[in-house]
Amino acid sequence: MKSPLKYDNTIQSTDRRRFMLTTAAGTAAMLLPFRLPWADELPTRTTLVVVRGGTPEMRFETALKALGGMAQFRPSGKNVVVKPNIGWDRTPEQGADTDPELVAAVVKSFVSAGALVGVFDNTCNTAQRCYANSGIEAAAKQAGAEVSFMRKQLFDELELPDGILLKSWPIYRDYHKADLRINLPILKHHGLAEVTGGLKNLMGIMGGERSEIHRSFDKKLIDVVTPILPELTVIDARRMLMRNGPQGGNLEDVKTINTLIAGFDPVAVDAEGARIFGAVPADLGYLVEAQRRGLGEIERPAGYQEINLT
Amino acid sequence: MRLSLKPKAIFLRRSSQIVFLLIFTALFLSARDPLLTSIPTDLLLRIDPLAALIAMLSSRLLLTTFWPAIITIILSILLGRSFCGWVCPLGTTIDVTDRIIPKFKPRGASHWKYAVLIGLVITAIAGIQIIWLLDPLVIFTRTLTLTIYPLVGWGLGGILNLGLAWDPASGFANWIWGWFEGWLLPLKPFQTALLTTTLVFFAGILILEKFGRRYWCRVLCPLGALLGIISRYSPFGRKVSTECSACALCAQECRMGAIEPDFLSTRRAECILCLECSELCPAEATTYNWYFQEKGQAALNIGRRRALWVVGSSLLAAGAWRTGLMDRTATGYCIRPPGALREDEFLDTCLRCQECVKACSSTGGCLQPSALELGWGAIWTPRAHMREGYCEYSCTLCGQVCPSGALQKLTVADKKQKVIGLAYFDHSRCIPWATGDDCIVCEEHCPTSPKAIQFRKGTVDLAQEIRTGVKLPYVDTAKCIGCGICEYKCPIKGESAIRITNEGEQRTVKPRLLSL
Repeated sequence: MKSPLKYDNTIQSTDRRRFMLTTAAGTAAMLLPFRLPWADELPTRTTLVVVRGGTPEMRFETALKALGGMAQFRPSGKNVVVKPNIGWDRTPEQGADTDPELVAAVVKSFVSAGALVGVFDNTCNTAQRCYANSGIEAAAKQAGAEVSFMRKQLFDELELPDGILLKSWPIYRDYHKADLRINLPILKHHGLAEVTGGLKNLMGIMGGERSEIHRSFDKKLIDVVTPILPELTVIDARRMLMRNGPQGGNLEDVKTINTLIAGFDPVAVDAEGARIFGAVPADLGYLVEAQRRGLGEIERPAGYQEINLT
Repeated sequence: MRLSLKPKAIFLRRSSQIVFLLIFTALFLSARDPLLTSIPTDLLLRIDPLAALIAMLSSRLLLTTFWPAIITIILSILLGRSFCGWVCPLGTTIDVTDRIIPKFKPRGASHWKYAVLIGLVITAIAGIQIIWLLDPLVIFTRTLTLTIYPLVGWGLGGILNLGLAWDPASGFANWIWGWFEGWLLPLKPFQTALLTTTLVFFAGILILEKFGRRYWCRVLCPLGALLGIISRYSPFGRKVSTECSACALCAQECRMGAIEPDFLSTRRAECILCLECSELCPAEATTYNWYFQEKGQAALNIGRRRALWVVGSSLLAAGAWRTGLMDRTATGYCIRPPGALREDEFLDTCLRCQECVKACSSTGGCLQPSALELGWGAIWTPRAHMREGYCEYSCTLCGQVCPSGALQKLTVADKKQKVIGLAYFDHSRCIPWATGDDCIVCEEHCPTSPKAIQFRKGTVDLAQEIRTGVKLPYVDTAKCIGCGICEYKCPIKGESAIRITNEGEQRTVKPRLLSL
């Protein structure tokens, strides 16, 4: 019996090839997220970088390059906030405030890329003493930033829709309205939080009765920082305040390690800072809380890179 | 009607008044952080010979910081009471406001001020210093600090706030604010105790003009009295030639009542060299010149009866002063600024001028004038209110700007060691002790190294549970200097859960010249 249809060999072979190709492609696409052994060897974008050695400026330039360079921020004409820690009436050597040389390097980098850079902090000691004695006011101005004292009138009560304990908090207008926020803390000891980096440094753009945040610190801190996370966190670990933080005062408590940690994920950067400090990041309540709410990852990410400058 | 025949001389005097007013205001404004040590912010009070005299008499201390007062004395010996007419900022303020205050008929006996002066000297010898009540330069500085400066700050701030809120003007308002910030506008709102008291006191002096021009200077001012005594025989002054037609215009118009009934002689103790008579004189007979006046001045005589009255009432007042109740609760919480002399000498030397309060408002902001909680004798003296501010660890401003040495100048290193009090926890209110929640804001802010506030992890008995691992703060009393930042920052509402008392305070003891 003859088949009523004429068997076409060419068409059939094309179908099979197409079928096999699509199947293979589909399988590959489905498998990729599960990290096949060879997937790690694919070039991953650097999202967290630790740079050691060199000068503060070299460290920052190296870190920025590793993270994809300045161009990705399209800084030209943008309002950029660089938020160092200027909280204490201490000298740079005492390691309580961010290294002024690093502040200058970051400011210079963004200013030369065409950005308008603002620098400010809600200090714990008298503002003008902190600004002057930390060396940051002079260094940042020299580098081209607009350095201003924070004014009580310029805080906005920001809604915190995801807040657990706090539903709103005053946040500095120039910070939350900026196009780009660079958080520039110093790595140091803190009695309550144990080790602090970027997330705790964001208390410097908060107004109101900040000391109330200390009570149920982990939850309240994360409540407030959730909507105001920076685009980039750069931790200054040139000097590390090991004891009597956060304001120290004794040079014996300062350890110089000439290091810089930078990255996009504010939790990952703080966690790496904690590791470098010698703490276990998973033991830090505020980091655990931040990760639980999906602000970032404590675990070292795939895009982690270490660079040693000599 | 005032004739203006020689406008130059009066213009010169008015310019001098304005220039000195501006200089003293600028010096006042420069009493802030960062303090330029090349600027003598306290100069106005250090040129005050009366403050120097009374403070030294009552404290029995040699107060060398008052050396510039010698300049005023020499000026007065040579040029009469020109200080009152050409320099004194209170006199200038009175001259300016005089124009807007309608008068009753001029009266008032100019010798009252000598009675005031004698009273001040007698109480000072009896060991009570009340120059702070009546010294014009003190009154001026105190009024600037406690009323004018905060009021200007609030007014200006209010206008700029409106500007900030209105979008088209916000950029400009922001710029202006940045420009005024620090020197004219305080960085944080400066609120003062005793604002109204000080204002009423000052307004009272200005309103005295109702009774005649320069009423305060002519009738009451004890500094005017002292300078008057010094300048009684000064070789420079008003001289009337034989052209005088005895029209009496000068005597009518003289704001100080310094012209004797013969119109020719001048009471140099009263004349402040305002030069108005030389301008008014229709006969152009009046000039100011180097000229010893040998006779014609009425004697400085306040009368025996009044003298007895003054001596008696001064001694009575001095006695009553010392018997007032001093509540131990109030005195225990009275934290004096670092470098303060021992309380007795402090009360005797402190002029209550508020220079330290002004300077402190630009840093830690703890200093406020006392009201009556420490008794009448201590009103307006500076004390640290740790709930309003704290003593900035590396700041030495109050001692730097103190004109009398009631607060000694300290180096930063000494200041960091200077104990002004001691912190005590109130466990019944402190968050970790009372509720089992972590807090330790006090520990975070404690500036000494190592910290005077430490914590241990411990157990707290609560109503529902026994909580472990709570960070419980305590004070290492050997390290605490009483700076009060813990009390200032404590998040508890109302009274802080950690408070400073003046336990263990270190006061500077200077040897008295006379132990009486």
